[in-house]
Amino acid sequence: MHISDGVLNGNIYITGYAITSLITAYTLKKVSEEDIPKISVVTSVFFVASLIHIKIGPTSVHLVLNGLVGILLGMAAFPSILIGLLLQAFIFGHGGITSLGVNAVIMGVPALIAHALFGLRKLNPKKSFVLFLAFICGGISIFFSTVLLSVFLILSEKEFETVAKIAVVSNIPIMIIEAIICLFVVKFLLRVKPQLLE
Amino acid sequence: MHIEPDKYAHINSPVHHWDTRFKIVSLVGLIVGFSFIHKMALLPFILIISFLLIYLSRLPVRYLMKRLEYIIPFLLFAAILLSVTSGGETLYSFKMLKVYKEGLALGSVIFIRSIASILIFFVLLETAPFLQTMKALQALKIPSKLTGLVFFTYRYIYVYLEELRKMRIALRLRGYNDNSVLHTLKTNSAIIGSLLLRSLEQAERICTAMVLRGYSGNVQENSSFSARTSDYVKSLITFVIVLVIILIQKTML
Repeated sequence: MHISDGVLNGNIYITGYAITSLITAYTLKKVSEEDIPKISVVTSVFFVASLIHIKIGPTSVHLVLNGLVGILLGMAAFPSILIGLLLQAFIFGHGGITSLGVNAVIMGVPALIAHALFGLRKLNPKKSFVLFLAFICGGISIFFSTVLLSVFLILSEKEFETVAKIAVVSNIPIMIIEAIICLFVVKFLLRVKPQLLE
Repeated sequence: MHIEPDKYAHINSPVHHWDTRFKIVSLVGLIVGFSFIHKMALLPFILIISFLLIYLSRLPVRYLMKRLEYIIPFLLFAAILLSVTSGGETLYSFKMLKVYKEGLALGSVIFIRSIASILIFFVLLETAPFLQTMKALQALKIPSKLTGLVFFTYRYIYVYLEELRKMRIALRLRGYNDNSVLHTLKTNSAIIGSLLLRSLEQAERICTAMVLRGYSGNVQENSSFSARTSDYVKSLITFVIVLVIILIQKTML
């Protein structure tokens, strides 16, 4: 779900950077300097995890995991995703440099939404409810990412409408996969070390 | 996946010798300039500019094309879809399928613009060692927390790639196969879960060790960039090119 350089109109790329700078500035303020190594270590795990390809029938999909990043890192999820995307661009050439701002909004904002949503577990600390929330967070963050992707595409050129619709529909299986993965990972962490999710 | 950075980062070429800070700013400027192009007449020029830059950088064209291969199907799909769904004046129709004039124009603009931009980005990536590019970003005054994140994350990626490799070998030895989707999802979740668990536990120890050695949150800037006249000239030429393309487009209406 990367937008590469040259696809969108220049104004949209600049808008993407503006939004990303604002959110990064705000979220970085909430992060203390001493937490940076810790966030980096988790970011690198997510980077590596996003290289895992899951075989589904004849094709394979790779994981995005932005919902899980939100659950585990909270506000720091946004800078973490920004750096993940930056490294993906500079190591593999995926995404791009002018599109980095837009891509960070597409992936990072849903992570913040997942963080807020997972906060609801305080209302009902029962394990089944926490797992249900994890499932929803995993799926809904992909849903919001595709919605944001479509919004940027259509804002750039209104002719992108059909492309955007196809992007949303083709991401439905990924939404389900990410929801299940998120549920299983949270279940695993709850069993092994529940403090990590507090 | 195999990561193979800096393969062509030490070639002797004018692009390689360009001060990385200047190169980042200029080439990003060039890509931004490209993204404002919407006239078909300018497309050959931006392709020429990217190929000229590749020629000057002495990067192997075959290697760049190979990297481009992964992206072309997506771009082509979007371009074709645009030309058959955009509406407007029909250029060509075959039964249900209609090719629209505006769509075709927009599709080709976006296709060529993307190829040209991606090639320029590849030149930016491949003509300097990865760490030097990151240090140049640091020298360009990116917030220190972000540069800290970049350097530490980059360092630990290799640690966890190795962990992942070991876990995969262990899986294979235990007779893992990915025939059942649910089983695949469960196994991969367990892998991610254990990677996270190890990393978070390690992170505590790493932080303590770093603080004890005097880490206070700042990654020292130890890069030694010094700009020469040639760097200014190269950047100036790039900006003139950007300006000229944009001006030509303005006058074309």
